[in-house]
Amino acid sequence: MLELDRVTKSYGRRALVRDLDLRIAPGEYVAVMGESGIGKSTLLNMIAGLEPIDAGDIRLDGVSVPTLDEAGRVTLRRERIGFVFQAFHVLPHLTLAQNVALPLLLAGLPAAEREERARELLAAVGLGDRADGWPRELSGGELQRVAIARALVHRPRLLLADEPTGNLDPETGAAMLDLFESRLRESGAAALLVTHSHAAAQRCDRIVTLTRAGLVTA
Amino acid sequence: MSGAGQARGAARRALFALIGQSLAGEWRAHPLRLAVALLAIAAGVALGFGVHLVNASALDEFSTAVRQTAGSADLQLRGSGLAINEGFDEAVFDRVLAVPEITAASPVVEIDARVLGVERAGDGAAQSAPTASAKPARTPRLTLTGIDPLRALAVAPALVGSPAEGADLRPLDPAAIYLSAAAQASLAVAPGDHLLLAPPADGEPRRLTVAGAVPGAGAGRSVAVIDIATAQAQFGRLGRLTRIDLRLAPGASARTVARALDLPPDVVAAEPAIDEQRGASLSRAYRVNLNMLALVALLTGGFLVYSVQSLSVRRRLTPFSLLRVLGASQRQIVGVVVAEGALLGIGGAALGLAGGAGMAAAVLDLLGGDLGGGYFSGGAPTLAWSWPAAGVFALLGIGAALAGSLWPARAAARIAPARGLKGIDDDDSSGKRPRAWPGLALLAAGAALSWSPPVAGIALGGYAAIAALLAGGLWLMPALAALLVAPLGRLAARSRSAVLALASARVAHSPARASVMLAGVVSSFSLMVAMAIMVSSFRHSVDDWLGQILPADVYLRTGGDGAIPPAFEAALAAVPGVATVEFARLAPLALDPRRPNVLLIARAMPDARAAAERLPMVDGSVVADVTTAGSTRPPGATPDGAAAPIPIWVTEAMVDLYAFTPGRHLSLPLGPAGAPVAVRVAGVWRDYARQFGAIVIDRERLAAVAGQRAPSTDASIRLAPGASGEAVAAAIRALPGLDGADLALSRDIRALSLRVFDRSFIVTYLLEAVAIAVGLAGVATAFGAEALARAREFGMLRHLGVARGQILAMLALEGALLAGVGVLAGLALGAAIGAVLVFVVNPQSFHWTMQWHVPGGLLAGVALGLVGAAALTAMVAAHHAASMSAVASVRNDI
Repeated sequence: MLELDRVTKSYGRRALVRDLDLRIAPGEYVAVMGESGIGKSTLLNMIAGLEPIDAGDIRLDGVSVPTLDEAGRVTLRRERIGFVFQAFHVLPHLTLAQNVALPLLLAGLPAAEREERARELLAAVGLGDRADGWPRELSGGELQRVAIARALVHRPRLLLADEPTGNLDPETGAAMLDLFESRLRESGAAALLVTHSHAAAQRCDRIVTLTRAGLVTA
Repeated sequence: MSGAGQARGAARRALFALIGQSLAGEWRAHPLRLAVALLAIAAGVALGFGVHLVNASALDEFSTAVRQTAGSADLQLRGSGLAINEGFDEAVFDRVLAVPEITAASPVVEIDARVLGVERAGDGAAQSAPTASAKPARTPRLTLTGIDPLRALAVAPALVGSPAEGADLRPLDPAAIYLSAAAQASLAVAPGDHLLLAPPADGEPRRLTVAGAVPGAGAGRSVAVIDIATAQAQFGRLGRLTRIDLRLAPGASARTVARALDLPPDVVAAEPAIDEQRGASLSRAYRVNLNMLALVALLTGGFLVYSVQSLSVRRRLTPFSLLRVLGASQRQIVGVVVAEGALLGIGGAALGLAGGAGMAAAVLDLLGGDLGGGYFSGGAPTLAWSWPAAGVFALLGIGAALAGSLWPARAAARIAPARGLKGIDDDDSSGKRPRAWPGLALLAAGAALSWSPPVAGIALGGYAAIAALLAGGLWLMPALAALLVAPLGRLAARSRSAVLALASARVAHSPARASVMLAGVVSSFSLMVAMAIMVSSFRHSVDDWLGQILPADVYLRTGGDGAIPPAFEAALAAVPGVATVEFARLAPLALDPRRPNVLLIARAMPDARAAAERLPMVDGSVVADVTTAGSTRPPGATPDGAAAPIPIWVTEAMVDLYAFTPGRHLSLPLGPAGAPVAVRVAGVWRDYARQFGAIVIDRERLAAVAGQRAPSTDASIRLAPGASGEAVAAAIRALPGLDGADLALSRDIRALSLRVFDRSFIVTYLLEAVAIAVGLAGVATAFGAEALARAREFGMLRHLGVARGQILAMLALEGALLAGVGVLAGLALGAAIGAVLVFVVNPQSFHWTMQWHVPGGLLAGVALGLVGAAALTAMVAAHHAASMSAVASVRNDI
């Protein structure tokens, strides 16, 4: 489903990753660990077509991401990828339902369908009764639930999560990972979870560690 | 030092360090944005200070002239009523000599004479007089001051002429005229040359020799001094005096002396200082009007500071949170933001004072002391710098910047540090319903204030109403934005356009942000709308009025103290092509020595029907024909009570300044030697030419009560069908006996009047342009700042699959929607402020009313241009932020 072949990425003369290979099957939940600055987030961004690569290839469902033009990469992200960020990034001027429905809006779905699916996802993350509320009324944990709902609402093939519990206390973070995993399993999407937390990583099907020498599977 | 004192000292040092670091950081990061806010304050200060300096310089010049003319006089006797121009009986001088408290007295005769030509020394041929103005057809005029040099030396020595070296004339020579340096320069004459001056009514030109200078006259002041006997004998003032300057014995009371003189009705005793007061009143309303507009510009600057500082605070959410976490107090955070505002104010004020002084110097040079308003005659006054005024305007600038910073400072202090560190802005008002009642209360207060009467001739209530309306309108901006855009947002939510949905949701659900971003543009656009409506209403009214007031084809005016000789009247009527001629006499009338003279217009006006046909009457002001309505006269209103009162028709200024209300019975000093004559106000007419009042009276009735028919000064000529105005004017010019009179076609007068009108509003147009530029600069800086603050949002959107072009389109649409809301609000607010200007400020300041006229095309064009410019500005300003790396955007604090 996701294939990385001999991917190389440098910043100036500094090589960040070299000849990186990775395969992720449909529905597989993979944790990526590694020391700070090693390139974990860059790895996610390269997969999403947000960072160009210097060499190699990245294929998502057989589509070579580096060969896509800007419009193709935009469409790829819009249709096949879901993102969860450490800092939530929920828009303050949209209601919770509107925030969740954003990917559906970008996909051009009719309003009624957007509304229905957004409310469904909000209910699934425990915020069904807050669909018409505003982000400023929520705690950090609740905001991250909205972000998870938004990442899943358009039924992506691949979920990229970058330290989703980094801004949460351990208890809330654990609950969040429970929710994340259950929603993920239910959706059937594959996921790549970047984390420093061994507890979070332990929940995944597979753990890979990014080192200077490349990816090491635990 | 105590422990508490040490703690306070440490806190103060910490605050200063924070301010220094914060300011340095802001200047390094966003110099353009801060520069725009600084320039906005500078523009307001510069305009206010510049207008003040120009007027202060003109008034200073006027006061100097008054002091030089009056010299050391403690009291002046001067003509009242028509005697202000014609003079009073010189027998009064004999009474003066008999009063022991008067130690010196100097009689003066003043004559406004037309200069017909100059004869150069040694050259007998007369040349037509050169003119200082660009219009060669206009005859130059000279105010001749006739004095007795020996008596003047004791009271007003500055007026005594000094013979030029080698001049063959003595100070008492009847043929000598002494011209100040400025008068010599404007007429291009030198000692030894001869001036040909028009006689008052008929006869040969009077030939006077330039004998020397008037050293006591200030630089730039035009003064012409002749012997009083020459003035009386050669210029038709035998036995008449214009003024007597008196010096009193130490301790003598001016009031007691005036009583002892037992003055006739056409003479009043006044202290010379009253002239300065009158001079100030000439341009006060105009001056206050411009200063108030400058203050509104300053207010716009304050709103821009508010806009910049609010966005700056929101952008620095994380740094301020960090400072709070590290131990900075709320007060220190407030101190940082307020200090930034104060420094913006100080910088803006300094720049504004320099700019204002430069602008004033340029305006004095180009437009004169009244900015083209036409209140002061004479040369360009020199700039009179004033430290107190500089201090006041600097404080106003700093105050505006501080006021603009207070709200953002409060918001900065309220940041919740823990949530702020996570980028959560608790001050974000998304989804909150804005409170409307304070704004509605301010609008109601504005409406109520607009009914207030003027205070000392100044429309203070009107100006306060404008401020309240502006503040109320800005307060209601969030509610208005929500009201106007929410339906669009709901509609867009059902559409499939992400750009439309995101942009309208942003505008509709961030009302506080809308008011922050629009504060500058709404205030500047509403000001522009108000001024455009006022100027357009005024111009249309003046245009209509000119059509009514100039029914004839050709107009002739002698000007000055000249008159149309009776023989010339018949010759004029006989010119081929002339169908009818109406003659009139225009003369200044002094009713109150503290106010400028009013104009008495004596013309054929037999009854109310004639008045209705010939004068632009104010609707509802005409009362029943006075000649048949004597029984309605209230008891005691006329002193004699015998004869039926003469109807008079007065301008609106007479109603405001002298309470000459329709139907009122009163007396005017129009009889022999200023004897009171019973009159009744029969109607009010509109007059845009004489701000200080005019009275129309039937000429025959005036002649009957005055005991003489004074010569005509003006003639309005109607042409026979098919006659050419130019040809008739040329034929009239060729008639002998009226050299130097002004002759003009009505269409030329109309065109010239409108040109003068437009010129006098140059400063207004300048203010409008500045206001719009400031508003647009505000939009640009606000969008630039906000786009940087929203870089993470853009980054997230790009992660979700929004293209860069869509983000730019979204920003352009946001800009257009916001500007659209601002423009609608500005139009409504501007119309309300315009109504206050048209129906309150103008009538109270200038004593004339006008018809409401909205320049729809102009406003629609500017509104559309503003929306387009805002969309473009928003897109350009945000281009950098939208083009940043999506990865870096979501990761970094901006």
